[in-house]
Order: sequence, then C-alpha cells, then structure tokens
Amino acid sequence: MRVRASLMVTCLGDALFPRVGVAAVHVLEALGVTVDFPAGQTCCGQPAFNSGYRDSARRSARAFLRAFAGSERVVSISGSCAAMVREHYPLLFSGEPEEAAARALAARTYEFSEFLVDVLQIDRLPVRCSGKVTLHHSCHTRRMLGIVEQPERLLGMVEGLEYVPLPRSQDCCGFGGTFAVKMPEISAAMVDEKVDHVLASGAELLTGLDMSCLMNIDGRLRRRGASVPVKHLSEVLAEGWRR
Amino acid sequence: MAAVSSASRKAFDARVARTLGDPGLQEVLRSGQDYMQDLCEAAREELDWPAWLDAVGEVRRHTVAHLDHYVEQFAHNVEMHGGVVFCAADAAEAREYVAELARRTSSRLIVKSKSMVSEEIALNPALEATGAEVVETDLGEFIIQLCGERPFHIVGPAIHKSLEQIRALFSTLAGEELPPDPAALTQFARRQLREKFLSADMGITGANFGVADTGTIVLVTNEGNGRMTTTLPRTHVVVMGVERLVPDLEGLEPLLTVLPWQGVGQRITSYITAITGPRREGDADGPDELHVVLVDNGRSAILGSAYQDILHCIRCGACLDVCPVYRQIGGHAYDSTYSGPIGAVLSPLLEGLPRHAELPFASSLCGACSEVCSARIPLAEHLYGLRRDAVAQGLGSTAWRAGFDGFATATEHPSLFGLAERAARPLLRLFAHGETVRRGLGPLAAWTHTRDLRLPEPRAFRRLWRQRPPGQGGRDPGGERKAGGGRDERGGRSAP
Amino acid sequence: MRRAAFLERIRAQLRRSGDPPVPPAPHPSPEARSRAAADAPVARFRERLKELEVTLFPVASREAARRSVGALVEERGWATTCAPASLRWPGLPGAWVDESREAQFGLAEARWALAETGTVVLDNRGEAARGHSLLPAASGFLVAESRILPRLGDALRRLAAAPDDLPACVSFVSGPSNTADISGVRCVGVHGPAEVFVWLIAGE
Repeated sequence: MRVRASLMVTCLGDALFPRVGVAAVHVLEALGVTVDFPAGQTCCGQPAFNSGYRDSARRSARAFLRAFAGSERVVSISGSCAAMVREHYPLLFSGEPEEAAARALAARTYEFSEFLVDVLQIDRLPVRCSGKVTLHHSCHTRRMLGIVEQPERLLGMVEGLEYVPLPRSQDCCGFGGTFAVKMPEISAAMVDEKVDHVLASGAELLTGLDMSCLMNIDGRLRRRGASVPVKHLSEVLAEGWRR
Repeated sequence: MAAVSSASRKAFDARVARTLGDPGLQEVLRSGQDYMQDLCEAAREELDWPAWLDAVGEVRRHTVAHLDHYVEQFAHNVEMHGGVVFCAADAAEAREYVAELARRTSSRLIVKSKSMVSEEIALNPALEATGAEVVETDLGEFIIQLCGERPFHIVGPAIHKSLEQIRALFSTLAGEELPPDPAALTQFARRQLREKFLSADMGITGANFGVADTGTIVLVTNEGNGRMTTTLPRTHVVVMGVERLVPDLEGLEPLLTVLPWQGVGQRITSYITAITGPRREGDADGPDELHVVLVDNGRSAILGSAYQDILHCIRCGACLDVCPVYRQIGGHAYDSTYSGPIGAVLSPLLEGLPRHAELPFASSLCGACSEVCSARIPLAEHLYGLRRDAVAQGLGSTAWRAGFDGFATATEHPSLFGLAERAARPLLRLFAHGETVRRGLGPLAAWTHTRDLRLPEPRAFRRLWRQRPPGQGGRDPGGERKAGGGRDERGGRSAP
Repeated sequence: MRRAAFLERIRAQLRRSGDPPVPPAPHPSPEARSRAAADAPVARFRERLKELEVTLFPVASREAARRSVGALVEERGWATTCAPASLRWPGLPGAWVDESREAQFGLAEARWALAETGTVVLDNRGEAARGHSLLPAASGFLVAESRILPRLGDALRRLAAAPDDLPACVSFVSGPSNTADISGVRCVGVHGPAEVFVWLIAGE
C-alpha cells in the first residue's frame, strides 16, 4: 500500500515560497508517496496565537482542521507550523467542541525531514550537491518537536555535500513571527549575530526547515552584501536529485 | 505596536537602544553567556542532568502546592529555635518591620548580603531614612550600590561594569589611584568591607531556601559575605519570598546540586550555610536575634492560577544565560528587579501587565529558557499566556487587532485568501527595486529597515497545484514520468 | 499582618480548606554517573581538594597532624591561631587566641567531609565558633578519613535523622572564598579565607 500524505504548505510557503512546496512534492513523490493538497488550507493560526489573539487564531485553526479532516497524514514544510498544530492546537481547543479533532490532527502531523527519516525511514537518497552546506535548526523545530538529527542525516546522504556545522546553532535567528516587526531593533541584532555565524562557517549554502527563519537570515545576508544562497532542505534535495 | 502607552514603549525602546548601541555591553553579554554555557556543559557530562532537573521540579512543585502547610511549619520551627517570624503581605509592611527593628535595636550600621527580595521591596531607602548606613557586601552589589544602579543580572549584578569603571569607582572611594588589577581591587573591597562587618549592628540577608521542618535558612555563596553577615552583627534579618521553601533537609539535595552549576558554573559554591535560629546559649559566636521576614508582595495572587509554577523558581539565573534577547539587551532594559525570561514572566505577574506591558513581547519565543530551567518551569509557554492576557486586558493595539481579525476572515475563505495573495505581489512591487524590496510602510518598513525581502514568485503554490497536469503519480523531480505506479516504498529502502 | 490572615490568603488561592493531609515530601536523589565517590571516597576527596586549590596534608595519625600543623605555622610565621579550646595542644608555634578576628590562622575539626565536592562540613556550636573558619586569612581543617561521606545528600540525611541535634549553624566549606564579579576574573580571599588547608587523618 502506498503512503499517502497531505502537504501543509503554510501561508508563508503558499504566498512567498511556492518553489519550496513544489520541491517538497517532487521529493515525496519520488519517494513513492502519494501527495495531495487540501485546497481549503490557508493558515494554521500561529501568527495570531503568538501575538495573544487567541480568538482570531481559533478561527483560522478551525478552518485548518476542516481542511485536513480527511488527511491520513500531514507533512509540513515548516517546523514551526507543525509545532503549532502538535503542541498548541490541543491547548487552543481545550474544552472546545473541536478538541478531539485537534488532538487527532496533532497526532498525524509531521515536519518534512522528520517524515522522511522517521516515517519513510529513508536511509539513502539519489541526490548530489557539491560544496559546503550549513544548517539552521529553527527553535520551534528543535525545541518543541525535538527535531535535530533528521535534517543532518538527510544532508549526510547527499553525495558530494560537505556538512559544516553552524556555530552556536542553538541561538535563535531573531524572527519570532511578529517579533521581527514589533521589536525590529532587537530582532536585527539577533539576526546579525546569526549572519556572522553563517559567514564564519565557510558554508556555500545555508539550508533549513523553516522558510520564516530562512527568509529572515537571507534578508539580512543580502542587506549585508553576502552572496550565500539560502534554500529550504526540500529544495536542496529536489534540485540535486539524480535522474 | 502593542503597548498601553506609547510613552511606556518609547522608554523601553530607549533602554534597549542604550545597550544595543554600547559595544562594551554587547561584548560583556556575549562572552558572559558563552562562558556560562560552556561551564554548564561540564555539568551535563557529570550528572544525569534531566533527572536532577526533574528532581528540583518535583520538590518545588510539591512545596508550592502545599505552601500554606509549609509556611506554617517553617514559621513554627524558626520560632521554636528562638527566631522571630514576620509575615509581610506587601513591600510596605516588610520595609516597615525591618525599619522599626533597626530603630528598636539602635542599628546604625547595617551590612547586607545579596537579597533580590530586599531590592524588590526597596528596603535600603527605608533603612537609610532611619539614619542607618546600609552597606551592600556582595561584591557585585557593592559595585552597583556605589554607582546607584539596578542589578544587570540576577546572579552577577555588576557584570556590565568594565575593569576600568570599577577601578575608577574604587579609586574615588579609596582617595587614591588603584591599579587596574581584579585581585588588587578585590583586596581593596575586602579591606573596605571588613571594617563594616566588624562594626555592623545588623546583618540582612536573603535566603536561597527555607527548610520547613527544621526552620533552617540556607545560604549558597562564594564570597563569604553571607557568613560574615550572619555571624558578626547582633541582629540577623532574613528577607525572603514566601515561596522559597522546601519541606525538609533531604529535599535540599537536588536544589543544592543544581543551583551552583546553573548559577555560577561550579560543582558547589565555597560556602553553604544552614542557619537554625540565633546563637544558642554557649555558642562562641552568632547573632543574638534572628528575624525572618516572609514576603508575599503579589506571590499568593499567582497561586491557583495557570502561572503557579513560576513560584517554583530557585533564582539560578540560567534562563538569562541562554536567552538570545537578554544576550542583546541586558538586564536594565527590563526596568524591573528581575530581568531575563524569569523577569519577563514574574514582573508582570507581581506588578501587573500595564506596568510591564512590553516584557512578554520582548521575546522570539525560542524556548531556550524552558529548556534550561532548573525547576522545569515552562517559561516560554507562560509568555504565550501573558500575551493572551495583555490582549484580553486591552493592552494590544487596535491596528494589530483589526489586522488579525481581517487575516482570520481571509483564512476562513480560501478563495478570498487566494485573492489577497494575488494582490500582494503588485503591492510589494510598489516598494521593490528589481526583485528586492528595501523599503515599505508599517510592518514592512520595520522589516526592510535592516533586511531585504525578495519579491514572491508570480503564482502562489495553490495556483501551481491547480495547474498541475492531471494523472500524477511517482513523478520524479526531473520532470520525467516513470512508467506505472504501485511502487511500494517502505522501511529502509532507497528512492527509485 | 496577622499570620492567620496571611496563611488564609495562601490557603484560599490554593483552594485548600481546613488542613487537608499533605502527601509525604519527595526525596528524589538521582544516581551518580560516576561510582568514584561511593567506591573510593578518600581518593575522590583528595582529587576534588586539588581542583579547589586546597592544600592537602595526608597524615597517619592525629599526632602527626599536630606536628604538621605546627610545621606550617612555623614556616608561615603565623603569630596567632584560633581554634576551639578542645582542639588546642601545647607546643604550637605562636599563640592560641580566642578571638578569631585577631588570628592569622584558624583551625577547626570537620564533622564530616564530602568526597564528590571536596567539602568540609562543620558543626558550629559551643566553642566551635563560626569565625574560626571565616575570619583569619588562612583556614585549616582536621578531617578524619572515616568521616568522609560520598556526597551532599548523605550529610543532609544524617542531619535530618537527628533534628533535635541541629546546631544554630552548619557550614559546608569547599575551598577558599572567591568571586569573579570583577570582569569575570576569578579572585580568591574576598571576604572569607584565601587559603585553605586540610589534614586528612588516616586510621581515624
């Protein structure tokens, strides 16, 4: 029986980084997964939840629950959005009629790299990508979902790729959702340090599991005139896929 | 922006800007955190760290859950050993008690060992108003007392002071130029403060912990000023938060195992002092009187709420040592006795959100604080809760509320959402130069002030998906279709 | 504030009424990673003392300890030593003094020592003054090997077992007084002693 999964592309992914979703679909399908895209999905409600607007968050989350109601499994291209569903949906819907549905969705939602390594149990990839690559472990992905090794293992399967660890990888990049625009000076100081570490790593490419963080780091890299490309892990795998 | 008053927000921004713009402070903050994080690595190698943190959490949770019982037991046992216990509902009651005690005992010279609670209740000015000279003896507190500043960090109050600043400060006090040498400056402080210890009438300390079933006060120190303060003066006063108890001596073990590592990166501090009552008859030294002031000052209001476990805190300071926001802005930006993640949660709870409206929002919610916490307090989760509370109390801005409401409506209607996406690109294009946006309005301007933003691709993912050729299956990224389907890809297999 | 009202406020917030029974207090005490302190406490204690920069004199007997203390006092030229009267012996160079604030060296007997942390545990009661190990710039301890316990929890359990015997002050001393409050540079001898010595008496 084929593995079926619904893609959670996230509002940011849908609007600003469609190529990441495209890459994720390609990789999943090449690995034999039947991918569908519930068109009713828009936003999981994380931005409103993070800012304290729980009623607004619940409205978005209800629509999200409906969109994925028929999904066997959900694969998200954003760790923080997967964390929102897994860790905060039960809280958001505690005591609400949707509580059971929220818990059920949480139980079958995965982050992309976690899905490949822990569910599909991939141990080899026909991917080539030469050069030094470093990885940003996003905070929610690392701390709320406990995902640290999975992306590293996937990078280790890529032929020709030299993985260079990012110094102080545990440090937040400063995005924090609306924090980046509500407290921009502090956020900028944080992303500046992150950029220093990316440049110090000697990496020729920065990858990661969350486009929100990567967008933030990429934005500062470019403003500082650096030319290190920044891509989601799904893009690295898709682009290097050997035919 | 989200603040009850833009004046409050402006003041916050000004405090933040002072630290962000000070290269010396930036260096101190970064190297301090790096240093502490390295030291704590050693702890994790030596101890079954998760088990010990769970142990701390367990003891503190049990104690706070039955706090009435343990406070009563503690007070009884302190008194049984000859001490006096005063229960202070708030800062004013606590100040008045200690000031009155200073008057009654004619205490003209008072030495103090580190106590965050005494800072919280603003004790020193009240004592000075009685005519007493109050001297902070913890070296870091001594330094900030000379500067008239608040602590910059819970464990190291003067870490923001450079060697030269301290040299100059001490030189003024000495009436001569002292050398820029930490050892020499430390020896100066030793000589200076020794005189005070030897002639002080009253010694005031905090308490790291109070042991309920013996009435014992426990002090965890490195310098020896805690011992001096509790040995030499006639009267010893302990000012402590009502929640800082443990049930018994055995319950101290995990706390005294974890606190030195988290607080100062050491296996144990030079001194742990367990004091039970004033001196006994026949004791060669020790104070004649011991007074314990148990301070509520807003703590009991947190009991029974979703934030109750914030009272499990043992004030180790580890959350400050890993917080990426504290790393940039330092302690003064918080404008409260307690800074860093603990301060961001505790200060609004003790003093109300309107007084500290910015603090829960001065966080990227990275979760490093929750991860490191000695007592397993979910600090980051409490920040989410306080943000919800701030909005519920009307401290959020109408602009953001309207924005989130509108966004929520769009998310409920995918077609509307799709339309909004289509409108976004030409709107952003207005601010773009080529494919990059470098300026904007409102939140976009806040972003582009320091970061570029690339224009999104012409079509959103949902449009691309709709436009996929039909009959997909097993398609590889090269675009070539593989024949047939039905490949069974499970368990340890590689890709086709 | 009346104590009853103070307690009642706490009780009400916790929604506890009357005086409901409290479950037994937890005593979590995770296993040590290393067996060194439990299996070979003397060796571990000596190792930790070295790390703490405490000067160690291993001696075979109390008599040897006294000779060694005397030799150190002589070498350093300390004119005054404070100690509890029962610990003093005739023939020490210089003079024994009562007042620790006048002494250059202070001597005390350890009730226990802790192997894992290099700690000396002192009962401060009666003539065993707190000041003896606090005020002089140099501080020395007589530690019987048999009194070395593996770790802190062991001492706490022993203290807890005899609550009526708890003195007004128990001091746990691990190395010299120190601080790193001045630009992060570690300095010893802030308010307490800068130098610490231990005479470890075997066969006691």
